[in-house]
Amino acid sequence: MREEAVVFGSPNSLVGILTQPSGPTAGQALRPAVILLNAGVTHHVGPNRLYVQMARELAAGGFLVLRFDFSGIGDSEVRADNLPPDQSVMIETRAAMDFLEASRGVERFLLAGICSGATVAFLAARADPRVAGAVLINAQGHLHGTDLDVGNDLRGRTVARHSWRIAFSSSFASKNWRKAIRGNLNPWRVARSMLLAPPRLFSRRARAPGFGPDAALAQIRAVTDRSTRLLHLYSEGDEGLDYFHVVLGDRAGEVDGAAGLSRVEVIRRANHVFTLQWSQERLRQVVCDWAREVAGAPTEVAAGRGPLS
Amino acid sequence: MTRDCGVVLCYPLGHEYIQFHRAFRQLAVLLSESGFPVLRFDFTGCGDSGGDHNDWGIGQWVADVATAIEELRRRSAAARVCLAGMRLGGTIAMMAAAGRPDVDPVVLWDPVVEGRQYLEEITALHRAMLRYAHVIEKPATPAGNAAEILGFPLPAEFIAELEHVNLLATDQRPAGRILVIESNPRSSPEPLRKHLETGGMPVAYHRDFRPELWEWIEDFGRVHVPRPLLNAVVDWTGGGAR
Repeated sequence: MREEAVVFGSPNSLVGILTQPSGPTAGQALRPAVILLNAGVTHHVGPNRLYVQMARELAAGGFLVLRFDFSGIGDSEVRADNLPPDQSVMIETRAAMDFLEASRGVERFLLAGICSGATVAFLAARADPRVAGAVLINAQGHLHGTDLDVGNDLRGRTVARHSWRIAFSSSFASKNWRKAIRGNLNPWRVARSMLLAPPRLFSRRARAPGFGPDAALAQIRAVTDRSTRLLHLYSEGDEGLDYFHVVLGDRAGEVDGAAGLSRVEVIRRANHVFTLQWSQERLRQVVCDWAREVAGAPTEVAAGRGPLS
Repeated sequence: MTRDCGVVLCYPLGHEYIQFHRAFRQLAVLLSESGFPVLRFDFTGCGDSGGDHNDWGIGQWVADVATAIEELRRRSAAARVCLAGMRLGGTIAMMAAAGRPDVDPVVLWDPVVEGRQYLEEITALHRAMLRYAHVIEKPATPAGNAAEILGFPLPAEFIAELEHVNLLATDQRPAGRILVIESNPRSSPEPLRKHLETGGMPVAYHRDFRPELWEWIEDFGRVHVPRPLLNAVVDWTGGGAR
């Protein structure tokens, strides 16, 4: 395994670390390279240095891995053109793929990211046919577009569902009730979220029109119809899991197993940034196994839509 | 104007490293705009550098600082080097500066003065995280679970090394000019300042409490860059350097 600092993009303003497998590289160009995308504003080492460990484990398995910083994050320069971040991250993800294609001859890519990095991975997978697969770790907000009314409605219902789930049906329920009994939770906040949750979750009156499970499934299908594989990977304690269920409703199960192209997995007892060591190990294992699986899969899959149809 | 004094920045450890990367890059940019050649680097087993937590060690990191100084001097016209370190990075900077006439000044930002106290503090933060975050520990194995602190493993050998860290036991002043920054009421570098002033030479002192700076935050996006503190470091460093 070898690591090298690289600069790319226009004008050479994006900074990244390329982790390359050791040993013979014959045929490597046929294997997808992995690109790890910033989790929020955490620089390219990732939360808890997760991206460094993930890159090294993937490289040990024969993958070329690039972890880099979007403009204005970590070691990369701020853009001079004042482009909004939702546009610049797309351009820069494409620049990362262009760089690996031009410099290493790689033609297919696996994208992975935590939190906002997951959203970028999904949108880039939808936009660029070179993406063979994307791991969306604790993704939230990626399935509903940019409509503010829809976003506000989903946000309210996501928070309500999250409060309710954490309190009553998660692995953390007993821990949180113990905290409440000992007076370690703000009683007003608890009461407010518990009282607000049911109306937000079950009232259909306040919901923004024009968006529902069909539209969300269409977003996913836009990716998988091109044989691009998707893994939605959530921590049990993450709010993104509630977004996923709020957006997809009783059709959430259709995302899992769609013609073998789309999977959903939950790491129980873990939080948003995988703080505990056991959860980091589990995350790395799931991502590495999935990458191996996708790399070994044929590039063209019959266009069967399966349960997503 | 390029100055003849370079600056090597020494990062803190673990979650503090992740949360402070942004601030340190800003500091590097500000110092560079003031004419200082600046080198940021990651200690062995940290950030982008080779190795993992099994390679952590105080002695290794002091040697890393020496390597960084050589590299900065090789790449610039710097005749002298300022070491600026935060938390454990400050501790390592002070150790690395000892006996080096080419290192002056030194900036110590909430340095870890006593390793044992630092271990107690981060252990308390870890316990608080276990209570409040959506995490559940794995049941202990018969051999016991390996120690971990706020997202990072903590090897037993490193704990043993940390327990012996005590800057108050050093009798050599690390540099002629020293700035001690206190940004957290719990860091209490006051005894270190008095200790360093034993020889009669004053130590500059800057206090600006921002207790949120090195508390553990699950959402790293909420960590602020303490610009006034960065400006204070740049102003002070530039005040005595050409």
